[in-house]
Amino acid sequence: MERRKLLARLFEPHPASPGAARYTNAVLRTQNDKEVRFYDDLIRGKQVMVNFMYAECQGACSLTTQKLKRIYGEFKPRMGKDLFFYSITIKPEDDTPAAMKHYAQMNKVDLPGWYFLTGDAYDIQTIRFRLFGMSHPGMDLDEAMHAGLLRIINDGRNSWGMAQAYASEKSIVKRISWHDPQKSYGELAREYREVQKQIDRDVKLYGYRRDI
Amino acid sequence: MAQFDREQELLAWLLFPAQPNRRVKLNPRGPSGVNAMKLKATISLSALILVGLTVTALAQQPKPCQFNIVGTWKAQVSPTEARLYTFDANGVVKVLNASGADKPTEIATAKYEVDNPKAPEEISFTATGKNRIFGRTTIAMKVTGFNDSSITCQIPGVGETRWTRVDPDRYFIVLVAREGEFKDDSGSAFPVVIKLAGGTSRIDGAGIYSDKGTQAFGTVPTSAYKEYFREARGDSETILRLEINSGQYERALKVVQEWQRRAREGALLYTNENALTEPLALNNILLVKAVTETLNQCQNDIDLYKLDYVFPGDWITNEYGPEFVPFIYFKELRRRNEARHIDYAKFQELVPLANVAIR
Repeated sequence: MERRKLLARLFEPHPASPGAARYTNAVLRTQNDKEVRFYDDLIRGKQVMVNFMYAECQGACSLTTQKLKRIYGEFKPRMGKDLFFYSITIKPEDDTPAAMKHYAQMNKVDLPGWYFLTGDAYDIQTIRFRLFGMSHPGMDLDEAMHAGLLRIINDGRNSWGMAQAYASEKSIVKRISWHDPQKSYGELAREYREVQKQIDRDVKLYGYRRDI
Repeated sequence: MAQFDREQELLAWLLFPAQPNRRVKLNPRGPSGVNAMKLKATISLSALILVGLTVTALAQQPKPCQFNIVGTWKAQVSPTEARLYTFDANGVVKVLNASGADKPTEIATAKYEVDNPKAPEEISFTATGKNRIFGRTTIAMKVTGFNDSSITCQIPGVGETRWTRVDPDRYFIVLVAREGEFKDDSGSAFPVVIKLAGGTSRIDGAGIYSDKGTQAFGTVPTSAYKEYFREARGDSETILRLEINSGQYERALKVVQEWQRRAREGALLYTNENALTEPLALNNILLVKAVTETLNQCQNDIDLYKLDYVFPGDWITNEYGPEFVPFIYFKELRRRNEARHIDYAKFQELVPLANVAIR
């Protein structure tokens, strides 16, 4: 309880965050069989990326996991500190914490800040609809329609976005970065100056602005 | 046909772009101007179809029929004689002989074991009383087929036998909907499941109902569903009453209870936060779809309309807004299952409404 209070102080949500009313406070279990509450422990005040998968999935899930593993590498210094990846099973009746652990180890992704989550089917369906619902029962009931999507949330900024799991790594990294914690004006000014320098260099060399 | 071939070629080209001998004649004039745009649009559309098909093929698996041996099963031995097999949840089966109007007499008891409770292939028996079962002390019968109300099995020395479930209780589902009740011209739409046991009825309902003229979603109160214990009035209402079996009832009840719980706990799948439009109507579509589809999980029992949002088969979701979908859907189910509909006069005889017990 004390630890939860301490964490709550570290990760303050944005005042306008919908909180547990949207994300739910469902009790889930990690691959290490640790009990966590979805909003309080996993979302509150943090920047997170959520996707759906299942341990026995032979196709798309493994490809997505391997891609996320490479993206994890891009954010390694931040992972487990202010950025987290959550892979939630769509087959909780089959995927026990041990099965999730096995999947994570088999794919060499049992890494800090990346949780493989399972729980009650009722709760997981609620989370899936709350995060990926498209106001279209035909699509939303099809679990696989959500397997190719990544939900990016920063509760500290109350921002949320989406990335296609089949998009390029560069594109996904960019989309996750769009939800980074708010930077100071000084930091932003330094970044903009660097970008401008690169544009000027490109214009001088090629006559136009290249991809930055 | 030519269009289909062209799409096939396009898909082949998308799948195997590096093939040197591909026969794709997309645009003999080369991709330029309007033609280039058309080409891009066609490729994008085909890619979307391809992704859609792949993803759908991965996911659309119907729920398997759950096997449940517990209960009493009847095997007809001769026109006047039958065997009753009463399986309990503790692995004990009692065999009774039923002949004419006489009270059934116990002829054997045994322990039973199902090899795979979800999808059984074999049930083994070990006699525990004085008498043998199927003429032996231990025997294993092969399960060759099953659904909610019957098991077909191969018994060594007996041959293929069909057992039918014997149930002293009766079960019903009532699908109720109307239009022109709320401000948006939609109306109440909910399923009610009824169990009739020992002279009393248990009634559970969930969905959209009218709470003093206002749209509400959740457990349907007695006053709301009692209003429909009559025949439908005109075209703006539809009521379908069907008798179902215990398996269908249990599954439908589970769906109803799950949605009652979702409404109670604020765990609806669509909310004002995540739905672009009509969250209650969208939740109700999920509920009515689940509850009706569960009826056919083990056998094609009712003539079901495929509410799957796939055009052109699913004309309802294509032509009507979400708030009207359950009404039109129930109306279509009534049309398709008219022969099985129980009219109110008969229903009144079957279900003692004075003893209604709402949960």
